[in-house]
Amino acid sequence: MRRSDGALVIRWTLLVALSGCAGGGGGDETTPVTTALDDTWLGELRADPDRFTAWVEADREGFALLQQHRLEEAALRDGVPGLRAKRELSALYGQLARLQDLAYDGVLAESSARDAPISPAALLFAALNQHDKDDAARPAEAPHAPLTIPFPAPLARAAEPIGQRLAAHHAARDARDVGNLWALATTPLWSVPLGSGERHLYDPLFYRTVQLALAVDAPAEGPQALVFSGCLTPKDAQAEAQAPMDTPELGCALAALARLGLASPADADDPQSASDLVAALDAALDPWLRATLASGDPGARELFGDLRLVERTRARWLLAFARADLHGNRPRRALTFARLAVDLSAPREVSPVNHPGLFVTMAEAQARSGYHREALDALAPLSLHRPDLVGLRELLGDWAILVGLDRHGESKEN
Amino acid sequence: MSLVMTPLLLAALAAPAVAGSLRYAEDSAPAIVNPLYATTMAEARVNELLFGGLYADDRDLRATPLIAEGATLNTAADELRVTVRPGLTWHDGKPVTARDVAFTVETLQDPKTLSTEAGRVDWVQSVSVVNDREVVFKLKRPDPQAIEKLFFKILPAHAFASRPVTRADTFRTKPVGSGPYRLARFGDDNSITFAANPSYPKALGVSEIVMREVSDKSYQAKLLLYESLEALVRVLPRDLAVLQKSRKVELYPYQTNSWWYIGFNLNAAPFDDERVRQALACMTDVPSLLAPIGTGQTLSGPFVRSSPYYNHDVPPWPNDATRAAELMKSAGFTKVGEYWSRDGQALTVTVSAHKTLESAQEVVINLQSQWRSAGVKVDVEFLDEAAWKARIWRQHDYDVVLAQWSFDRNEDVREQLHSSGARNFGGYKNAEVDALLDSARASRDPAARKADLRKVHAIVHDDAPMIFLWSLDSYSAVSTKVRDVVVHPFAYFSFVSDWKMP
Repeated sequence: MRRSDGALVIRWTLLVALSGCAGGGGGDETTPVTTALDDTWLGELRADPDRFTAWVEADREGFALLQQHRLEEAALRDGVPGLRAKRELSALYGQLARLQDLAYDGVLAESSARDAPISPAALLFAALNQHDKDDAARPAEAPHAPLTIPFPAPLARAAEPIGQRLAAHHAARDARDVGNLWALATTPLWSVPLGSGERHLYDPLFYRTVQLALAVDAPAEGPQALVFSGCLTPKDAQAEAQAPMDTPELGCALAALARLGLASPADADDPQSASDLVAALDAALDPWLRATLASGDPGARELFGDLRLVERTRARWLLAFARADLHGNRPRRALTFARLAVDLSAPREVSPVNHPGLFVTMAEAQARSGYHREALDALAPLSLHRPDLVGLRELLGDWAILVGLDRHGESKEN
Repeated sequence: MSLVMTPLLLAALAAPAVAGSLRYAEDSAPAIVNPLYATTMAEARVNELLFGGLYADDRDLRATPLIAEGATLNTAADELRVTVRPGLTWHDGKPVTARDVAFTVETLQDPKTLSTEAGRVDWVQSVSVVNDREVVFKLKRPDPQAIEKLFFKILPAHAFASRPVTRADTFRTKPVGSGPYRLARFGDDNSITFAANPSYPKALGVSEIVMREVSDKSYQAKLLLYESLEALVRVLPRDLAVLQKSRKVELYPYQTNSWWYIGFNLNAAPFDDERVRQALACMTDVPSLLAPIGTGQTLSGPFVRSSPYYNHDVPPWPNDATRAAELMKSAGFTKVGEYWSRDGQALTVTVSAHKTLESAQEVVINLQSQWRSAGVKVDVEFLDEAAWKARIWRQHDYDVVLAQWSFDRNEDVREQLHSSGARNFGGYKNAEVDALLDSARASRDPAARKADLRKVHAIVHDDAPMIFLWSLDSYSAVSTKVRDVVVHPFAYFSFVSDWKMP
């Protein structure tokens, strides 16, 4: 790569319109700089920033979208950015489906415990979700299970549109194409009278459809598969490609810890252990980033300062640990990892550091820790701008209301 | 944020840390230490250190016995028998008894107490002491989940000098509780020092907590970075990124559902005319007021945007000079010179703000500028805590306030918006809103409650007893020297007994 191509790097940074400067302001400036990152894609770019241009040249716009976590747009592109975005979207919607399952279970349990009768329509949609969850878990070669949930008399007319929607979902999953279901997810699938207004019920099958339809194989090896990811080396990425999609990049994040000489998190749901681990991680990364930014190479400053590659990678590792903790039923520690991953220069925005999955992870961790109202707040950066989350938002809202139904509300000034 | 500090300030505030001592900052010291009269978050936080309820939140926010050993409901669910935990003592060594529980309930209910917290026991018909450890609540109506309402702080009957209890009772300077910390001393600099309660049933990991009054939030952040404080209750959004870069600090979401507002005194002309209120709303450029504070979300009603009750179909009032002029004219005002006038008098508004409301000065000055350029004379005043309580809460002697409400996760706005609400000092009355608030409280169907409160949102937006401004991203900053920190989403110190400082 010719040195003059450094200009492309500058144009790249303008293209993605990034702001802010590097973090890592604290820590001991005399700490030796680790060499453990030298043979990773971060280390390669530090040594020769011009390589970056070659890595992303095939689809600069696609990589820009990927870098900014504009996953829906990136998923529309051919090539590596498109494949990677689809995989990330699939994992994201898998998380949303799981959170929805959790919320349905929570609403049913709280309604029962608090003697708060649940409406037949809400019960019907909970049953529909359960049916779909069970059906999605069937062996791949098995046919879809027939819809056998009972439709009570007032909801008999809903049987046809719900049956049609279910068939549309099955078709979308089989064809690996979500199609117009994106748009349909933003409006109620069914509405019933409620006082002077209406109770709206949203399609509970949508998140799982996106998860299943966009579950694609990992892209081929090479720097294009690594840049902007949490996998530091081709070997890590290769192992990752074989790993379950529901804990994306966990293997890569653990490999990164090992590379930096840090122990993997233990199995306890101990938030302080997450804080301690992240402090140790930062103590390793901060000097490396400081030294890189002080290197005098303008290309390195562009990449590591403006694109915030280290902070971004760190956030992906923490997100991977948080997701793994949720799978391991360690919600409090998951919340700590997620909390420490958020870039607070824009805490309510999806950004190059703030992956959309971070907000879903926080919401699930909050909900699993008993912080149901706070789960809504965690999800807000996504739900306020993504119309297809309206159903989940309403469901989580119902859960939060039920949990606080018998409390006396408290308010104070300031 | 610059890290440069004046030597004077450092000398004044950087008192040496005591081993195991946690120093936290409040914008304003509590005006009163008495749960009967707590109206601010600073007071609520102190109460959390000093006092306990019969029940409290556990780490999963489920109701769990604290002063109570347990509670049982009769089969009709209209009588609740509560047993006090054995061996529990007040900070002065006297035992906590069932009589203290009955005293607290009766004092809260006594109209002569003038407690701002009376609503917390409005479900109790009567309370009677069975013996030293047992007390029976008769409920006004059956409530199978009555234990969920036993969170109010219990007070020691023997520690009050007068009956009926008043705000002026000497208890305010010599509070006695049963919480994890006891009052050690009030400092001349408005600080309050709390010492670990040696009789608390659980070993405490922080031996001393010191509340320091630091009204300037930027200085609070600097003091934290300079290790002259261990905790900031609430960080301004504009300081978040800087604090995050410090590896000596961790930031915790402190998710009080808080919103800022401009509130009108509806008992005073011309603010009794909704057209004038709406016109002032249209003269207000809310995003410009918010910008100097940092990031936040503008609002159109009395809930934060993530609330299940927020009505997303209602947009905020537009900053629209033409519409403002039409509304002013319809209310009988004409433009005389540069000011709107009626009956020969130019419209003059005094905006009152609490002097320690974070960044209120910037907001008020900008508001003054906006309204002046729209034709309204504006005076501003910044009130200290005592004047605020007296002028705004008790005497209703004001035109317009700039203030903030914080809500727990139930976001119950009844006290603020119901005509009988204890916090409705603006005098807002709307029969439809009253009915909807009553209906929402009675409903056990979440969808119905949402529908009621979303209607309240829409009506209150139109009536404009307040101009709803914004909610800010709310984070607390705590030194990494403090370990096992969990911040309660409203009460902050509820889990302080788990915190540790080596």
